[in-house]
Amino acid sequence: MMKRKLALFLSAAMIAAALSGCGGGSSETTAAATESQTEAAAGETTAAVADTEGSDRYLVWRLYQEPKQWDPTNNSESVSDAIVKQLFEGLTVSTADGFKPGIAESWDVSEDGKTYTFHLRQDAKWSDGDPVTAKDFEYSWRRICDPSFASEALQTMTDYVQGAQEYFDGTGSYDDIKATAIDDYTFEVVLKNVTPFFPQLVANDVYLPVKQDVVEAAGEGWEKKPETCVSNGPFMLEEYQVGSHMLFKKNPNYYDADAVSIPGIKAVIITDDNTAYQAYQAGEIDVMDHLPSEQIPQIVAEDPNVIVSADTGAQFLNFNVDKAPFDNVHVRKAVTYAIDRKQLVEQVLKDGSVPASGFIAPTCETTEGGSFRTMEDDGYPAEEYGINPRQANVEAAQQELAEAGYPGGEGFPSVELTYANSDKNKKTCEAIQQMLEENLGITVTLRAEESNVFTSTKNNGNYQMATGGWTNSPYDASGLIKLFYSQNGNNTPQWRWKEYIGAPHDTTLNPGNQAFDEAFDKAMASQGTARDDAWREAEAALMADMPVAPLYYPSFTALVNQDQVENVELTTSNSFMFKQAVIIQ
Amino acid sequence: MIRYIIKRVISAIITIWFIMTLTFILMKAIPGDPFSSEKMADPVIIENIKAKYGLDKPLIEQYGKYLYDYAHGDFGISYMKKGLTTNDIISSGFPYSLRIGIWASVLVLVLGIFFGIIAALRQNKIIDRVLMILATLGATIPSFVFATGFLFVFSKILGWVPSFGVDNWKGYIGPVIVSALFSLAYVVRLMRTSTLDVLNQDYIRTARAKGLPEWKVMGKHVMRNAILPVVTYIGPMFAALITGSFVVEKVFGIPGIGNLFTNSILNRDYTLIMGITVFFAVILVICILVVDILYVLIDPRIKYQ
Amino acid sequence: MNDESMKISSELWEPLEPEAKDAEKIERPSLTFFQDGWRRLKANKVAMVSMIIIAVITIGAIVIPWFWPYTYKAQNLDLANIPAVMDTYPLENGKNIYVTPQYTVVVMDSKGNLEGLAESGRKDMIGKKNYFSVDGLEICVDYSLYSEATKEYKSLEKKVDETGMVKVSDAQYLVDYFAQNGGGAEEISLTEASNILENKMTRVKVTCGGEELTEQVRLRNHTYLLGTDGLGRDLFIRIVYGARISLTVGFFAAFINFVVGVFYGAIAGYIGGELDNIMMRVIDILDSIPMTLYVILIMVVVGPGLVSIILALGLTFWVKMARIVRGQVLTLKQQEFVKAAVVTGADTKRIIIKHLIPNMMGPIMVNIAMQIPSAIFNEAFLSFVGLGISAPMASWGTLCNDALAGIYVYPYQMVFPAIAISVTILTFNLFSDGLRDAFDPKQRK
Repeated sequence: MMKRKLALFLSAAMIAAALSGCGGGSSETTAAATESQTEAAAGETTAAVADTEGSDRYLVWRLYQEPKQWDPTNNSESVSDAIVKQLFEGLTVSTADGFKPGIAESWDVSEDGKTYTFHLRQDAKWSDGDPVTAKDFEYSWRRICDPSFASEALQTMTDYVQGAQEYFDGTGSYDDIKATAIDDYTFEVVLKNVTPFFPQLVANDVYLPVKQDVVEAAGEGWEKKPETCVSNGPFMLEEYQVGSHMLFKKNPNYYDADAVSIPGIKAVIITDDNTAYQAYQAGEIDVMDHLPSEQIPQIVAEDPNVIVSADTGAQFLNFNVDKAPFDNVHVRKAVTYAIDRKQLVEQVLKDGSVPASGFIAPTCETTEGGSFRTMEDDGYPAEEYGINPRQANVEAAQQELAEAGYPGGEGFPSVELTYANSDKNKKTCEAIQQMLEENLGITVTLRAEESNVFTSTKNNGNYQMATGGWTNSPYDASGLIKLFYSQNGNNTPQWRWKEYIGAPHDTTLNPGNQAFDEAFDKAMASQGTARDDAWREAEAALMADMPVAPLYYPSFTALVNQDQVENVELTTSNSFMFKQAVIIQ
Repeated sequence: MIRYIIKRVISAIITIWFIMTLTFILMKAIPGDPFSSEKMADPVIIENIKAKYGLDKPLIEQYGKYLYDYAHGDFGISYMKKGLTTNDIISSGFPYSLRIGIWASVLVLVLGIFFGIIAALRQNKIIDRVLMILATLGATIPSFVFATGFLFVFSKILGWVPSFGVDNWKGYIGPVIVSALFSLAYVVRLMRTSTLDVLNQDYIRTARAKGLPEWKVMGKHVMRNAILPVVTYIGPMFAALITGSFVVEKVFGIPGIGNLFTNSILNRDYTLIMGITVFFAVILVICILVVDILYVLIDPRIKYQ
Repeated sequence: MNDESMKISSELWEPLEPEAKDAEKIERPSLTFFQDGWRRLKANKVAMVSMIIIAVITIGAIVIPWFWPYTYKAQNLDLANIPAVMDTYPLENGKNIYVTPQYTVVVMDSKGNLEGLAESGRKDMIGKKNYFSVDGLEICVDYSLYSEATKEYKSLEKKVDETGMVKVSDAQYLVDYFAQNGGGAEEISLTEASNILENKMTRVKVTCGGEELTEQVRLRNHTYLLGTDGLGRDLFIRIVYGARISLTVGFFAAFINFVVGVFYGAIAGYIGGELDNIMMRVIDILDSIPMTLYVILIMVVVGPGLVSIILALGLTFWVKMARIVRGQVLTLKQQEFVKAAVVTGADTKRIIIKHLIPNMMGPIMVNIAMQIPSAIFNEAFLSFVGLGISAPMASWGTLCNDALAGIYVYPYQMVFPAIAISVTILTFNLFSDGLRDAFDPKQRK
């Protein structure tokens, strides 16, 4: 009898121990459990209410991965970019056709084009009721340059704002960063170069303000707790459940709160594309991007709610120009020419991407609003730099390979192609592997890495060939092409003609990069058509040395359930704005 | 008895210490670090961040701090999920996995033992054959196939369960069944085999011969002895079920700890990996400990020294 | 004492009948443990069939790639995602066409030998029509039906009354559906309307030179036995290659389990005491560190691929077996036959090999049977998170995972490898059941 009681007690203890985890976490865990249970119950009642009243529910928005953070001053991912833009509002705001004034009502530009004076609206408030002032912008912008804060968004300041790089390097002082609050509602910025698109640039996530007192009091992670996540945009954080969802509710202190008609947004994190699509079909999700790749053609054909839009950017193959055999420009060209880009886009990706003929995407605008690419009737760009987007240039490829000393692929070593692990990348690389084998007779092996590891592999030059991609805003080519500037840490092909302190491993110098750097500097310092010409010159320098092989210009596909929501805005950089969204059902 | 328990607890603590040390060494040996996202490559920044997390200190110092903090229940902060502690993350993901795990375990034990005994009592009859075929099939269907199929039928076609998440109880049905499947198949087979073994023993014949009613024979003699192999299995099984499955949580869209853990490994989130590994280890060690003690209590043949 | 009288005369000796010579001989041949087991295994039909299937799969995995016309990595991007059995439309010129779920057209002859994609013409995105030409014949694929039907269904949803019934005449697609399939109810439930919309109705209208093609012929894919995957590779040969990988992993796991797990567990259990305690704690430690961690570490040393997976399995996979064997030994060693062996002076090695292991064959076999699938699943999981074998080589796990993305459009890509996994594991299970019955001394008759 004793024994049986003890056994009973022990099994109870086992469950209790498992419930409480270890250490001091016991009360916490149980609390969390009960809390989410009550929430689940609450969620059911809201759902029931939503059924009867219709428009009172939250808009459901799918996030394809969990954001690391959404502190605007420390941002580096696209998924958090979208979140930041719902919570915060910058000097200007991105829209479907470009941008419009935000917290800044108007701005003046000095005659030399380098000094911008923003006049802030006086009715803007933080979600805790305090006014939004120029001081908030001054604090946020300077915070990014703080070496001890180590912001991941550093380059967005040091590239443009005078004094930012100096302060970060320790050669200049905090007060010399030329982003200054003249008074409470006047914010002045002095730029390094003339930057005509600057007002548009400041709508981006990293230029949005944070509130000094809460940020400093709460420390890192302030944006993850509803009580400390004070924001100035249309929505504010209501709840965050790691790995599960976020709730954003309407910010009553937002200056334009009358324009916000939905009570809030429920951002659910669903990593599996198929699961998310099922949920969309069942009406459980209103807005989603990252559609299941195999089903895109069918969705595009059948679902009127689908959005297909071009991303401003390119997907490409990196060649490690410091490692044999890709230290030979002929080898690089051979591989570049041997790829059939039309097949890749139409038979493998099938998502509306466009085969590439150069690095700068067709959607990237020249200063007059034109395109850097000439498009032909079939919607694909014209042949350029020897790259035919419609087929592989097998003859030229074999000729280049022969010139490199490997006629017919003879004696060519087996090379490795590294990619970030995903279904889409895997298929792409398998197809490229086959094309190179068929057209050049060379052996390629594949290696998959998880994206974080892959990034460091690429930045450190520990690869032979690797996939790559880069997207940016459409209004200036600098955002795209800066990747290959010698003084850029993301110069993944290690294509540098002079050493860069951020890449101490790259000691093999590539003189071809000098012409690029010069053209880049020239472009940054000029305006109008001279600027466009300099970008073309830079691209020509890039393609002459071919450290990367452009593959295709990616497309953005998304679903917005128009039977349930209306007025969901998609900005020119393909991110959603829910401020004006309306729920119908 | 008390001495036995004390001895086992001490050895459990030593085991946990070993696991912590081994995890620490493994973490330091793995290449790639969490500070390498797309737009950040400046070495000065990386140095600063490393300093912030104490990664610039000598290893032995890092190890000392690690042991000290863990002993005080502080599992450190996550590198990747900025501003969240490992404790936050565990307490956010674990309840989901725990709930699924407990229900799955209940399902496994109740159905497994019941069907196992039925199959044994009706050995080689139709019901036995059917149960064995089902149990064998259960162990042969990969969980991602089963999970996807489940969603297809019950969510897409019939609309009975939500297509993702666990906002209400219906969301738990799929994950519980899919998690339980493999273990259930195993327990049914295990229970059947051991029941057959016991039924052949002399003491059962004796019990029947002395005229005990059948339910008493089953309850008191057969069950108690036949359940022993299952009890050994319960510990690791329970630990495995409540620590979540990556596949199940991914397909059903559940923010459980199995999903968080696999992602933390793939993202090289050192502190989170160490924290969750140790947390899992503690659960496993406790489960095994409890089962060992239960075993001694139930099995009259094993003596504790 | 007369020696003579002690002498037995030779006449008294009489030769035995030849048969009587064998009177003392044991009738049954003396069999070793394994011969005896084999004899009884042979009598078990299910186990023998399973064994034959395993042998066929194994030999097939080795032999088929030698003569099969395709390799596991040869792609034909034009013929991607073609199933094994297709509903095709026959044309006047003897060709058959198959409309893919993406509304492109694949041409084949009347037997099912694929000839390639039809030449693509105009694409009318607004009218939802794709035009193709096949040997001069103009083919039009009209896929607007589904979108139209969806709109009609949406309006049905609004009209539905409390009973949940809708009028068939309210939606053209329902009228068409019932006209085609007969059985015209006036009212049906909304769920049924949705079911017809999603799963039952015809989604495309194919016309050739203006005339609608109605007749459909079901053809088997003669070019690719089980169809092709997303890159136009032969699914059958990929499954065969997958068998190589998965079986290697499975057999290796079984081997490690048997060699390391059984002996480790037996030694720990038999010797007991402090050694047992230490050995079991080592197991606890090894077991509580997840395999993904080991694999990442091993991959750094030996590179990604099959070897890392096998090493990682080798490191962790015997643990469960060792626990079970130890538990068994703890009970068995108290029993008389072990004590008897000890008394007769058998050493530890002999007791473990000759006495303990044969008596634990049941649980050992069950465990191995369960561990082989588990190993195959583990390999699938590791490949799933990118730590497995490198593309384009495939295992059953990677095949299933690749198919997962398109499961709702191309279910056959998942079904075939899943069947391969299930059949293999099923036969392993049945075979090991047979082994257990044959080798368990407790079940000897």
